Amino acid sequence: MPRHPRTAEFDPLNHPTPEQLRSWIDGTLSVAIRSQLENHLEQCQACAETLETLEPDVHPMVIRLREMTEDPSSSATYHEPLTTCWAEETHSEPRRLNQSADSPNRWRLLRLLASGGIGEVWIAEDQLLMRKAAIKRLRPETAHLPSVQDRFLREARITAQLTHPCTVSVIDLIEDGADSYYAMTLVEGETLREHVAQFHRKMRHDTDAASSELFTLLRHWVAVARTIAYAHSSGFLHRDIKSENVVVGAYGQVTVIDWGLAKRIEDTEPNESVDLQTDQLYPTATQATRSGLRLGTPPFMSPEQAHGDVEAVDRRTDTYALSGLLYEILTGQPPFVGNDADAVMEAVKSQPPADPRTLKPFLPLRLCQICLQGLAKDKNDRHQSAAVLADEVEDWMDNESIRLQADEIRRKLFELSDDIMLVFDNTPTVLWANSAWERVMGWKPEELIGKVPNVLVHPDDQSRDAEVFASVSRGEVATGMERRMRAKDGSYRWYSWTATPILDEGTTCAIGRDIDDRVRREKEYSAVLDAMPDATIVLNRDQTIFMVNQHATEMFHYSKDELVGQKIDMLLSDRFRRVYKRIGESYMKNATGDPLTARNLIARDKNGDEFEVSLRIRPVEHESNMRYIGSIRRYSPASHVSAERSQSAKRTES
Amino acid sequence: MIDQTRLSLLERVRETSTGESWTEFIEVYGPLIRGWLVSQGVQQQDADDVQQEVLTMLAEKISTFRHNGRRGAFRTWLRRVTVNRLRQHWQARQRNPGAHAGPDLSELAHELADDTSRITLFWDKQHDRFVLEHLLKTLENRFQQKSMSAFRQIVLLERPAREVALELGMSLGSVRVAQHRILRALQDCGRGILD
Repeated sequence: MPRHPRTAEFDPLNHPTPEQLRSWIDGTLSVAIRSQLENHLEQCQACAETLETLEPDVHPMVIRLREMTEDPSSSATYHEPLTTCWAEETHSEPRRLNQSADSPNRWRLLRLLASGGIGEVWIAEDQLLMRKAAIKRLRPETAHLPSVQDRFLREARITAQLTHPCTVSVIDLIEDGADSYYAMTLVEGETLREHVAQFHRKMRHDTDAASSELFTLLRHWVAVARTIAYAHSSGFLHRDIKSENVVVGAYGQVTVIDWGLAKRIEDTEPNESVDLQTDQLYPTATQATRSGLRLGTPPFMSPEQAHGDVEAVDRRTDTYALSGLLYEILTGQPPFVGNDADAVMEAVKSQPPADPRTLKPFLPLRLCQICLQGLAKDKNDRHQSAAVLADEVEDWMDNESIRLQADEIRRKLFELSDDIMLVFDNTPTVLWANSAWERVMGWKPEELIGKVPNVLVHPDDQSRDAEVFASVSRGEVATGMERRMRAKDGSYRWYSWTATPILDEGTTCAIGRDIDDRVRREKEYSAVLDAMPDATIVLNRDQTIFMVNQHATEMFHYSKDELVGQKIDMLLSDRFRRVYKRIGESYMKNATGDPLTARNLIARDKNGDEFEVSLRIRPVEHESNMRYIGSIRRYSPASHVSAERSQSAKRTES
Repeated sequence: MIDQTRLSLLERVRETSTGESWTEFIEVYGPLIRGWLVSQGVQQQDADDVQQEVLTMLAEKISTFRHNGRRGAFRTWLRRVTVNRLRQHWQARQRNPGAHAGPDLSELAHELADDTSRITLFWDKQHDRFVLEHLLKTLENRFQQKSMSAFRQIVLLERPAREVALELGMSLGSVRVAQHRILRALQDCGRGILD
């Protein structure tokens, strides 16, 4: 264990304090001791470990740098510079409304939005309808190739077949060889990939706020899956589902774009079979003549695609990619990652994907199971359609939201309760405290988080807490712990605690009920009892001992703890037990207000010594329970008769 | 004498309006502006012209730039300068219509003037990445290769420090110290332009 000096000075022979490490992270540590601390940190494993617990990654500058370098390869695949231009119309006469709808003059190019495989997308002005639209045309480098032109026209026609709220509508197509282009509705928004990255960045700092955003992402995913199910029903496969091809609008509307690799399900085109492993991402012109190029990009490529088995590609290839997309949403990364396409493809063919829960342990088990089933190598083991897959995820979401609602209700109840509550882990450290702490004790819940659970327990009451922590960490419930708790104003109140381990989570929920009034009354009561002249015991109706006074412990040589909870007959000699039991039971059953007096009883103390006593029992109401107060008087061997008589005479008088 | 390594690029450029620092500044910002324009479909010739005009403007006005405390104040300022240069360039073009191709630069300027447009977002990203890469390159002369590598792995590639330490054969504490030393240096030399 490193020793932690409290002084601001840093002694290089000692270890820095957590405060010093924290201010080193923040950059507020004085320059004078900074390099000493750094030299120490380079050598000392213990301090390096301490540093790790202080979240050295969560520095504002680190977060900022990560935002800066986040991959912007988004919907806008801006990174490819455009080297030639196609905009003869830019200088055409402005707005002639009498143009025919198929005139190339209808479209005025504004700026390049994205460029990819064989085409590039421009934002254009529709001069006929006076609105913005997207124009897709061939990239000049490969526009002259007939196979590229064919693919381009096929893409336009397939896109036009799909009329669904989550697909783009084709407005116009001009078929003109290398100069072919088509116009479609302009989709604005961020790609799902950007949303996923934002979510995971947030998740690192604020798990609570981010978990509701997981639901938003899942809803987007379901929209994508339903769109693919629609495409399948219309007879098309997408074959290039990935987060970059999903655009999320400002109002949450989802659009599945880029149907450039889509094909008819009936189509069997053996010439599409191509050895993907030898393909380059940016092909030369000769390679580009080979159709089937870049079919499915590595991240969500299915095993059948990786094997180049085009015959085997069917609807379940798309459900595989949908599961891959789900995997990315859950973990922030694709199921298979590697240094190059070859390594990824090899893994797709032969390795099982890592369980998402090994990457993000908080992920729900069921959701991960659905996801992994969808990524099965054998098509027959996957969900058999996109609709089934979407149903399963939606079912999970329904159940989860019901569960969350129940949690929410329970949480509200917790917040309303005047019982104080803590959730702590097995270290034991408080993870959560309810708001009752502030109402009844004056502590803000945040003030307790990170502390040991018994930080506010009166020092005299802490002796058995270690035992309690040990037993809950073994999974045992602990009840009836009565402890004085310190309020913010320094006063103490009595609480009775119950600690229940939550087994799956390795945490314990402790509930403390205010018993201060009761404990105080009991204390007063016991002071009154001690003031009574006789040995006195208070009995419950079932004849167990509830309280005893000082005289009674002295008379019988038992401690209070040894007596409380036992039956009263432990204080009697064996031969009297049966008799007393009968009398006692019948008295308590038919309790009137009258006292019961038993004389000439033989009592027995802890040491086995027997002596003669008289016992007088009378009922009283205590804490709304019926109790019985027994006064025990010992006969002194010589004068027991007279003493007893004078006593009974006095009682009669009163 | 002022310790040059402690001054930010911006401060150095202001101290000496000519000379090495200014060359360094142009080396960073010239390709950034030009590359950005070209990526938006602007023709090479136009991009060269606009880039020249922007840099000339920067040389004149850089001493008047005041960081207003808002994040990205410098890149916003630079963006405004570029918007104005783009507009003026486009107007000059309109007066002299020839065989011109390329996108409508006034439209581009319009979008770039909008603080919330996607183009602006892209501008901001490009700027930060570009400048960051440059600054990291200059830091490579001041730090060991291992330290730089640890910094890139942990901060930029978001890899667990423990793994990185193991890979580089450094102690856990050493990679953290490297990370924080470089972070501080980067904060120093990026002051004014990256914050």
